[in-house]
Amino acid sequence: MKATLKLENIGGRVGIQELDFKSGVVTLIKGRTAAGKSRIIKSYALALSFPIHSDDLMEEAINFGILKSIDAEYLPLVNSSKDKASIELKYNGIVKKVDLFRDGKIKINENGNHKFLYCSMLVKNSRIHNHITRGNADFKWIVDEMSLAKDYEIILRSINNKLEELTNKKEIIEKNRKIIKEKTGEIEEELVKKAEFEKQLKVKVKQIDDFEFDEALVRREDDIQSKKTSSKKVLTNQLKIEKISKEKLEELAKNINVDKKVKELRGNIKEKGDEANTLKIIEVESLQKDIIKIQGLKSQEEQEMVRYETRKQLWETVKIEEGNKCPLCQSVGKITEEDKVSNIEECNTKIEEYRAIIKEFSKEINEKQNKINSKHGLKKLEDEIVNLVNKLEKVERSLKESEEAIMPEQKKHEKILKEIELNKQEINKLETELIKIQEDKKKDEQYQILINEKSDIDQKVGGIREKIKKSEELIKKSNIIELFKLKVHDLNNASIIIEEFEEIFKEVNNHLDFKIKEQREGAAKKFNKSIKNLIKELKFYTFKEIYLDLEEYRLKIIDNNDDSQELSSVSGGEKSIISSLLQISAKETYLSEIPFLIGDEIILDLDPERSDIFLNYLKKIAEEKDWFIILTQITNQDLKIIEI
Amino acid sequence: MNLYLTEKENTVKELIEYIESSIKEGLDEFSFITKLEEMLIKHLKGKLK
Repeated sequence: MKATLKLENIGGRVGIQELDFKSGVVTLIKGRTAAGKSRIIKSYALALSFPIHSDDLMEEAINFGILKSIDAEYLPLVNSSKDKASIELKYNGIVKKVDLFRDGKIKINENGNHKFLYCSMLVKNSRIHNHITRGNADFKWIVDEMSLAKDYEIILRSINNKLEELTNKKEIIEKNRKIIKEKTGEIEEELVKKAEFEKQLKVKVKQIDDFEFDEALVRREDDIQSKKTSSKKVLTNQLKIEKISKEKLEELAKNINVDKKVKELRGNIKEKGDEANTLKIIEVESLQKDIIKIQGLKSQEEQEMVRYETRKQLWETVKIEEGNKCPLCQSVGKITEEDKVSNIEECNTKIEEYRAIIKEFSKEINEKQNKINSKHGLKKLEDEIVNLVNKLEKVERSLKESEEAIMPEQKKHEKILKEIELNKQEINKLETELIKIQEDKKKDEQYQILINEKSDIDQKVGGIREKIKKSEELIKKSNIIELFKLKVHDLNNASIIIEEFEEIFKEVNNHLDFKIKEQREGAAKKFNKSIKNLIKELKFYTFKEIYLDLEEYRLKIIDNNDDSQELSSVSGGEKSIISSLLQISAKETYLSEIPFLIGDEIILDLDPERSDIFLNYLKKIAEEKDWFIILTQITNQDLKIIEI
Repeated sequence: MNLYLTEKENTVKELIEYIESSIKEGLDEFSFITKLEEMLIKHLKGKLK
């Protein structure tokens, strides 16, 4: 497998640098100080670990020089003369692109795994290395980081916060209960006092009521009071009359206000009339002309018919005698019976003919007349006009009546208003007099004392009422408790709910404790197994056993006499070996899926024999696991990359 | 809801299931607390009915 690392403006180098690495072997990056070795391994570290989600790791990344601290001005990996730099890492079909900006911003196309900083960096100043060199045997953090224990711990903390919240609520409930008790007691005391004062007040009111004033004054008061009552009664009646009159006036005014309706009716009549006229003018006119013409013809025929009827009458009166004159021409001759019959028949025939023609003309006239009457609703329109005219007449009549009636009603209304005003003035006058009498009464010294005493008691009762009201409000407020943003209106209910929630949280916490232990134990056991194998592989027999205990996850070192050794008592060389051993174990145990192991001079700093053993082991796992193992080494030459 | 469990036991079960699924999906502390509070309010509302 091949990995290509393309760097642009990274560290001290401006421009693009492309480097190829091979898996299955150990690659050494050799060179003098500041030749650019660190630049390469830091680029690997950033591309494979960013973004960092843990505060501890953030600190480690800052120490390692791949991220910027808050105080720092620039991102250390970006070349000081450039605003932007980039890293591109290609391996096994994966392409990671990182853009770095001088102000500290970093953009990555595909997230890395921040555990890479713990588990794949064999460097000085790494957290494992620092723990070992400082003699700190506490490795609980590594089992937390390398398992889900940390997530469970975060949840445990959240649940514990909720439990703490409930404990605080319980304290508030207790405090509120005390307030309620105290205030309830105060209210009871105040109620007793109030009852006593009210008793005194009753006595005082009776004394005031029973007080004997000057007789003449009392009589006068009674007299005025009686007049006032009578005037008020009259006023009530007057107001009733006024109301009725006002309503009547309003009704009449409403009737008068019919202008709109009259206008509307007139408009309608005009509209309908226009419509009828149009019909008459345009179509009916021609029909009427026809009728006149037919009537002329009919009249001519009637005259003819009359002529024959007369002739018939003449023939009917003719006597059949010799020497008779002809009834038509008056000539003397013999007129036979046949002549008479024949002429009468002829007349009858003519009469019948004319009658038929006249009938025909009459029929025609009727038809045309009907057409005029019915065509286009002329008759209907005329009926409507008649109706509208009737309505208009009715409205106008009503208007006239209302106009005649409103004047007397207005006068009547004005009169009653005047009377009401006078009566009110009278009542006011009587009331003023009554006030004056009351003032005269108050001038009585004894009476005044009673009034003052009553006022004092009133004030005291008022004060007590106010105090009770405030206490009641405080009790009401204290009886409400807020739980998880909801208001619970009963402290006892709230206590029961809190207890149930506490039980629920405790059970959840038991589960979390179990899971945290399970996760830590699992992670530590895997880690211990890896350390044990590695000791064997590296033939590191200085100690019999090195492991994390499963109680506190502290590093235990057992010497060959089965004695436990303190980490602080181990020599510097041995610490270096233990540090490298733990770092390689962490990589094998927790992050074997990322095929990169990056190392600084740390391993090569070991004594030559130990260094060889380590290097050989690294070569072996590089081959076995097909990993990229990249180490740096200081030489006096320029940067050189070699595979070993 | 499991009908064979008490209301309290069901709440415990619901919370544990929520915790386990949150961890499985990659814990986001803020979202976790927000939803936890929602669940607690829901349970509390049930109690106050």
